[in-house]
Amino acid sequence: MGQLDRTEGGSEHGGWPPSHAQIEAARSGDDDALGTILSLGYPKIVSFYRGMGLRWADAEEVASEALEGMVRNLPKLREAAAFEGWFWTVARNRMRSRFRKSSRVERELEYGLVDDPADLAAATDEHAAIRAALDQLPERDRQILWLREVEGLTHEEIASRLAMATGATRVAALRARRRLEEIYAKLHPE
Amino acid sequence: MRDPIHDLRAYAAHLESEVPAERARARAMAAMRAPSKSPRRAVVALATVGFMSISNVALATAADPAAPGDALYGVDRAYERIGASLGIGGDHRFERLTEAAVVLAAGDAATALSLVQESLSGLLDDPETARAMLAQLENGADVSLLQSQVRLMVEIARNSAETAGDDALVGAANGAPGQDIAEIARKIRESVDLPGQAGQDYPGENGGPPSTTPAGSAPGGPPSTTPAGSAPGGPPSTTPNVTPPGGPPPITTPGATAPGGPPSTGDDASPSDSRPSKNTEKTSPTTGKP
Repeated sequence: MGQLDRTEGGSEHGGWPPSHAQIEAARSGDDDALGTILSLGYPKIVSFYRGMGLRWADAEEVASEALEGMVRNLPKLREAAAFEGWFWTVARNRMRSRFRKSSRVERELEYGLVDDPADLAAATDEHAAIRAALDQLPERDRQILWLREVEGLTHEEIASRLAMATGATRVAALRARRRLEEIYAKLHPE
Repeated sequence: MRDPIHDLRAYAAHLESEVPAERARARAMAAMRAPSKSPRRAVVALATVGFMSISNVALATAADPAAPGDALYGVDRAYERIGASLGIGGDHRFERLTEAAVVLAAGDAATALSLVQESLSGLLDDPETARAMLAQLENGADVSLLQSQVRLMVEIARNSAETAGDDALVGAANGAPGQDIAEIARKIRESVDLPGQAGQDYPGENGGPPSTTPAGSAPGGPPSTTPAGSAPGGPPSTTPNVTPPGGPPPITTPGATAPGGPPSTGDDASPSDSRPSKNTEKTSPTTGKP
């Protein structure tokens, strides 16, 4: 995956992000186009939620809810070019809604990385360090890093989604990256 | 030092690859089929329902006692249907019987039969309610009218079978042929014939004027296969020796209003007024056929 191709109008090879033609078709009621977009987007949302610390089952459940929200709100999308930012806004809002509904104890249970059996099984893999580092970052830093460095959103897109000034987003993204590096340095002293 | 951003992207790709494509497709399809749960839409719906409930409660109350022919009868039935669809509103079968009595008194036997059969349609499929209804009839001191109506519907159904050639009644019976109506009449008796209670009279019924026809004494009158009082479970319901004081008001029998119906003669021992036991029900009292 990594920094995704962000070609004008989206991917032309059926991948992510969807092309403007696909998005317009979905907005026009083309179920095949909508199904394709959601099928491609679902693993990305699950991945995002997992990266934010949700357990596997919870990440899938919230991702399903996010897809439903997208189906409902797609007609409100003003233009195809705004799709990806909108997509991540819906995904992030769904997670935030989940946070609001959960008690503190429930949140700790849902977001505990080390207590997840699946994570324990993978504790020795090559992702263990980055997972541990993410776990030590504040939630907002995690989100900004993910949206910027993994999903490749622009500072403007992130700023509008997080209700921040673009300049503040740049600063926050840089600070989050430095924090991650500091944590990583401690985890990998060599 | 390893590049944390590189590892972060690799980790994200790893997480993404853990989601099977089939599951992603299934979740996408499920999301597309999910019913809309827009909070705004729900609020609007709730507000609408609330407004309608408040503004229409007076209308519903006014319409409740309406009978066929009344201006509010359509409103009454509409509210009942809405209530039934929501699983509320109580049992309207009694109300149908009351309406049947009203229209019958007005001389509209066809509509009365239609209403009675509507009331019975649920009764026949719901023996528990049938028993409860009968128990209420048997135990209640103020249900003489309902009791009379139950008796009335039996009579209507039976007479309908005898007048199977009457197009108006057959049509009112939802197109059922005469033989089917006789079958309905048989089921009616079974449904109100509680185990261990066969042969008991409808309380209150005997105090009223007799409304049935002696066996073979009137044209169209259904011959009985069981002599009155001669067999367990099949006693006549109008036997004088069980008449309680203060019987119900006079019953308008279908024989007086329905074409071809048996005339009311006032013969208390009339077998046609009896409630045959289940065993005797196997033979139609009107046709003698099984």
